Amino acid sequence: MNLRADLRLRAALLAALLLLGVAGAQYAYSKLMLGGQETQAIVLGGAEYAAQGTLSGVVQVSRQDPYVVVQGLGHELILPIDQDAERAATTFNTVQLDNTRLNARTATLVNGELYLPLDTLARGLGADYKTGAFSLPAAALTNVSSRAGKDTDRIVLDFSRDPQYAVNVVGNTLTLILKGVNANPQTYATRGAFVPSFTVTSASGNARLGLTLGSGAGYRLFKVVRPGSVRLVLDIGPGLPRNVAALTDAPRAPLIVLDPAPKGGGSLDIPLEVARATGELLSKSGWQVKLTRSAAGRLPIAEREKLARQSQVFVTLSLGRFPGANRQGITLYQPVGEQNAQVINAYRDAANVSPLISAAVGDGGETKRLSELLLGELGARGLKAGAQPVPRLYLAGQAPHAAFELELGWPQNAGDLANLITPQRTGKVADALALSVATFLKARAANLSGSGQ
Amino acid sequence: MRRLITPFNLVGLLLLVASLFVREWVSRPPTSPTPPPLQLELVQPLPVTLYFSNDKVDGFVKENRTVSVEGKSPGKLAQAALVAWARGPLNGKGLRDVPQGSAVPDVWVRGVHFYVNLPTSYTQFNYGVSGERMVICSLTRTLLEQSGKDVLFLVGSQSSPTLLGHMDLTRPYTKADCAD
Repeated sequence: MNLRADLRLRAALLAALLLLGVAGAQYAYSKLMLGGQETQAIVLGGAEYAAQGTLSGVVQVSRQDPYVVVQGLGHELILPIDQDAERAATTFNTVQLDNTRLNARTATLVNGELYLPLDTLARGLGADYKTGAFSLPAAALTNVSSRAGKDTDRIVLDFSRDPQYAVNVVGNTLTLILKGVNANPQTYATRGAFVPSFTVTSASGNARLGLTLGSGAGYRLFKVVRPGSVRLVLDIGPGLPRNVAALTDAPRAPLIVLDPAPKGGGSLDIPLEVARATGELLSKSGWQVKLTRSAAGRLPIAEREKLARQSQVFVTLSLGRFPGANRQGITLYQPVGEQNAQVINAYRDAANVSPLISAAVGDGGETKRLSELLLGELGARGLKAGAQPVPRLYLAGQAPHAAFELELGWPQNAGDLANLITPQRTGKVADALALSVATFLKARAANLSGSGQ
Repeated sequence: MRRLITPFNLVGLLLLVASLFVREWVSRPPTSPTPPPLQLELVQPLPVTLYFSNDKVDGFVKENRTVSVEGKSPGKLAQAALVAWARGPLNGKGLRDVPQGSAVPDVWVRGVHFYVNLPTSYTQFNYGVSGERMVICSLTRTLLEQSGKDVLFLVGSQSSPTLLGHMDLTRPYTKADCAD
């Protein structure tokens, strides 16, 4: 009898323990609207919890056992990980929200996965939360102020929460892109000597701050996070180094490479004469010009390739020669089809991805635009020139921007030879080439930077 | 007195005879191989289409020619076509692409790919871009007229990025690269 009672007691205890265990691990699934998107949460001890993966699109969650650190929206929260889910869902845990320690629900593990309490997160991050809906406060530019300094001017932007931002400097224009930030479009005037004014615009849900960097001016941008507000501080002025990507400065100091082909027979070196005259005109106007050949000799092909890759404009100057040919006049050979440098093919049509790409590799239209300018300039000087597309040009195929080969004439044709050897003809071609290159580069710099040089 | 003829001695004698025979057999001088009978391939006339430059150096002039080829291998046919190409046009319409007396490029065929070795003397031609393109493209069009996919050019038996500084030789040329 005693034995039967003992067995019953043991069975009852075992069942109670099993029930307790099941009850301890019990949780229910619930729907959660997180930042406007429907996702899933679990309910533990009456509180909603979201998985680490669910929250990763909103905040940065890094597990550093026995704590989890949550960063985002200008806040940093440190929550201990309590493996007892029931205990974690009570408000007897101590959590750290920015600089404040308080009692709140904390993180826990369910089936090995990290879950975080939404009410604690909302409290720490300043988000709006009610059961089933966790929404982020709209990022808004709440205040703009500026201060004039001796070496730098300072612009201070206050936000309702931590915004995502990116800086883009092309030419002499700095653009601060504030993603998902509401801002009133306005032009601000400052008392500073280096940034007299700047504009804030709003488009496609993003705000943009645009300003012109003065000559030799650099910038520094840093963030100050305070409970309840986030501040971006932008210092601009000559007191700061101009540490912008070399690519973005390329349109400001473009390299023009003139590649005179070997002279061949005859006493006059017409390609070199034209290249020198063009280079002189451009250099006098402040452009950076390199020639691949002098009277002493021509650079090796590898050096010429290197210059072609660095150039913004690459022009080979040559003379037409072919046994028995009956041809005359100037011909401009434009490269067509795939370039032989694969990196150019890869990035040629990707200019919309980043302005840096168009600074590195121009679109195929650059050569066409420069060619049209040159043909127009030659025509204005009474020199008729034809254009011919040619696939597989070697050095022009290495150049990421405008590149072509200009055949100056056919010395084996008596009429052409009589023209070619005159200094007037050399001067006219050099004038036309220099003017068209300068016009093209000025327009290009203006397009890339949004303002003139 | 011990017996001379015993089974052991007989076996030994047989082994001795066999080894002497083997020694004599391996020491024999090898027989001279008979040379295979010489089979000369039949030289036969085959038609080829050659490409030359027009007088403006901006288009091609086709010329159909019959060349003598030993056998029918694509390599020999291609080489014969290049010999005819280097000699220049015969009907007076086109222009020869290389000066008279220039060396003939060598050509090899591997499947659908042609490999042309341009002589180093070609680097002294001093042509402009149109002339260089005409040399490369008239060879390409001539070789790819009947079959083949592309032509890779070497200069002086070595790969070279360009011949005269204008055209790209880093990749093989196809018919599409040399369209009119």
